[in-house]
Amino acid sequence: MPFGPIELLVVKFPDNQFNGEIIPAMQELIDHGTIRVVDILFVTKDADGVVTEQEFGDLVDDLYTAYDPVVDDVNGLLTHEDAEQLTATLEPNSSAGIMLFENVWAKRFADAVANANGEVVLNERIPRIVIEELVAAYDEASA
Amino acid sequence: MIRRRPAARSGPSLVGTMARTAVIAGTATAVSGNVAARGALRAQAQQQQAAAQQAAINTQADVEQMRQQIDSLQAQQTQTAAAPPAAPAGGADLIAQLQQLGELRSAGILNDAEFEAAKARILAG
Repeated sequence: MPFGPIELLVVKFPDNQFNGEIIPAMQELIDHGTIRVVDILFVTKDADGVVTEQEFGDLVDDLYTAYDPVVDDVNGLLTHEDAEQLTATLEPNSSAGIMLFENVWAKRFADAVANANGEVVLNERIPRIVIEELVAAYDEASA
Repeated sequence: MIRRRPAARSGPSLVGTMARTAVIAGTATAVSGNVAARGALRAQAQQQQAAAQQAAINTQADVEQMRQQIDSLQAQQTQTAAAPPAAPAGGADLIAQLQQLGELRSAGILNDAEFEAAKARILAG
């Protein structure tokens, strides 16, 4: 597989503005080889609930320049249908960034495992509700 | 500056593919209500890990939440069926949906009446 595990992230912001304030945090993750952005799409919903998609390449100059270093690829795996479905619950006068990122660290880790003649047999994200349940049960048992 | 733009974004829906395979149900759960309903339901129906399932639906509140997710799932299925570019493998989808419903009933998430109502809705397409 050419990719490490890919995650889908939707980040919602109030108002119809992307200001790039999350870029430093993203840059840090990228510099440390933690993630790599492979697709990104911006969606805004106006006061009437009308949804507009905006491509990375169509951002205003300042914003494009700001995002440019953190966007490794715009591979187009996210479709218009995805954008529509993922932003269906967005309230009017808000915006969302939809992003696909590769967990680069996981690929490195898997490579290390393979080099040690090991094999990753399971790598699953545990739903939060399951962890909450287990922690509650643990707390109850040790109370 | 040369601006980078993606291809047409006209491939198969990522979210739809996720919901079908449920491989990344965990990721889907974190993303949006609708997607979460599809992902979580499918994952639970398919995994058949009774213990984990029991943990997830243990309390009355959780059961209620599951019911709401089922409603949302059904609404979405109805919507999908009504959408103009209908899924090519309609028959296979239908059977998968019915099987999934059966599993939900076996797991005690749906009672008989809810099962029948949902089945009727799926068959009515």
